[in-house]
Amino acid sequence: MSRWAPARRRRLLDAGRVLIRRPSGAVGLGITVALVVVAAAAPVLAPHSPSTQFTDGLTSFGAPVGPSRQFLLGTDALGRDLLSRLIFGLRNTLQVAVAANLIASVIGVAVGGIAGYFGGWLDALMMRLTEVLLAVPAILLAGFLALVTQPSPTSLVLIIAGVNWYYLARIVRGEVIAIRVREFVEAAVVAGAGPWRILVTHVLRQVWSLVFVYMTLQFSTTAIFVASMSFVGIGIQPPTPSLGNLIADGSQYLTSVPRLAIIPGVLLAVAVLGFNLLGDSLRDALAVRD
Amino acid sequence: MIRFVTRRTIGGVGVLWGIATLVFVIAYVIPINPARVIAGRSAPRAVVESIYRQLGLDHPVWVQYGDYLGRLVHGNLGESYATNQPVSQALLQRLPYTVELVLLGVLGEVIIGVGLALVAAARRGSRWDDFASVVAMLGLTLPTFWLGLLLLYIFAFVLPIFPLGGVDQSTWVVLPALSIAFTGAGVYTRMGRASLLEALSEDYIRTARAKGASHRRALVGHALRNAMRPIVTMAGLDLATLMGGVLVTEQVFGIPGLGTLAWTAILQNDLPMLEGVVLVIGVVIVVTTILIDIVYAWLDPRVRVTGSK
Repeated sequence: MSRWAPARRRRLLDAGRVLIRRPSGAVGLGITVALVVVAAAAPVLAPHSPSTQFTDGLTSFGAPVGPSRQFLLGTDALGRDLLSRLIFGLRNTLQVAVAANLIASVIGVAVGGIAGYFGGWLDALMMRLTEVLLAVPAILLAGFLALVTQPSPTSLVLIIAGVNWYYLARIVRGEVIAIRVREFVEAAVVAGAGPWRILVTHVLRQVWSLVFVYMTLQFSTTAIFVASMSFVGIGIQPPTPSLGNLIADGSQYLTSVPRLAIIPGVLLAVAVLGFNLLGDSLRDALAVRD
Repeated sequence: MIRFVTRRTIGGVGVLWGIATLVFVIAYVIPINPARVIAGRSAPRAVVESIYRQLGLDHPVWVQYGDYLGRLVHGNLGESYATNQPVSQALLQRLPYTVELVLLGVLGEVIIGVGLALVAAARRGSRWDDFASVVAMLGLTLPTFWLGLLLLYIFAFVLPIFPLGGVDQSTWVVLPALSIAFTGAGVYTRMGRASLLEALSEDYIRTARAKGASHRRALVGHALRNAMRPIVTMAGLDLATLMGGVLVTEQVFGIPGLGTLAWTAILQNDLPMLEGVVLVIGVVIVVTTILIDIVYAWLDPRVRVTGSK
């Protein structure tokens, strides 16, 4: 790479190199990429449809059949192929988690940026709002909102985003307050740039690596959150498979067919581990402090 | 100190008012007609309308808001749409289970977390340090409710030591508290290790060591005391997340606490009951946060003056 490359790009490439050289970073990246590929290619990869109830999927007593060549992980209590439900469950869970996480990050950066940069009553109002929200468990608030809305994937994404933006908002606000008083911001003011332009092009630009790392780490939290919501019955609604309702359905048969609850949980844990390893390594590689 | 406590109490009341208002706003925009829920699906229109007026739902929104705040101040949380039981009575019945689980969960969390942090910091870079960080990572990785199912399968079914859910036996709290403690401990291990190592590099540790204190004494007697402060702060900030985990875990173990009450209320469109759960948990969190702040200010006089940490 040429030594005249822009400093910013060089920094990114350096960070990428640091990331891959560490074993935990490489493993985290590997797991994440693999899961995203599986989720994206679910219709191709899944051996069966996730909702077909096979007549040969249940024993003559009506119990799920164990792993076989036809059903690699066996079937569930309704005679559906567990592996196919797992692959589609992963896809549905990740879709909701990614979308919700993106929206939550946009809200967090916007609220934190505006509150930190403009200060005054706007800042006071927004910070009091986050304090109120922080005193209610997010999953309980999500349940409350689930009562208000008709259950649909879109409302689910909005609900999850709606209860997961305030930590990031407070972090971004703190950073913006520190950046606001730096010389280059004063220079931009003197040069005649308007406040919005300064906020977006100068100040928020400085927090991107922090936001990026936070998003990666938050991704695992969101995935668990989506699954927990399904588990208590306010998330992705059956018969659509998700990792959470696969575990919830399986928990009904914990003592007779334990694999139904255990296998989806292992997949969820592996996914979360991957996102965590990746996020931790990114934080070190981009030298973001806690 | 009195000024500090007063200031924090007023702030806490403000947050509670905020929660009450939030609950009111959400409940107000709900597209469900409470009168219809109470009367039942097949009730005649006239009955629904009379219940509607009885609930004061025909009044303007600010009158409803005023009535609502007035009721709350008097501790009246209304009656369940599903069972007609006073909400406050239901909450009082369920609260002890949740509180017991939370207290033991937090205790376990801090003991496991700080214990592992001590082991890691005492032998930095050793196998013990690696072990602690792997356990911490596992805790952060495993979803609490799934770990609960796993513990239930292993320690209640395969090895029938603990009850398979429910609260009939006195040992009911062990497995749910363990799943909360284990998944929550990771954060404390990481943070405790970092702040212990930071404290160990301070001058006062060198002084203590120079004066003949053993490594163990320097670590436990001196470094740990300072490292405990961020841990206390963390425990305070973490409360809402912890409560969320407890509410979900109750569902796994069939514990009749506030969580089970809330999830049932959602299925039944039982709005007053759900409002009650949100408010009572808000009160618990706000009061605990204030208590932690007061303990913190008592430990560290600097906080009292600047009011921030």
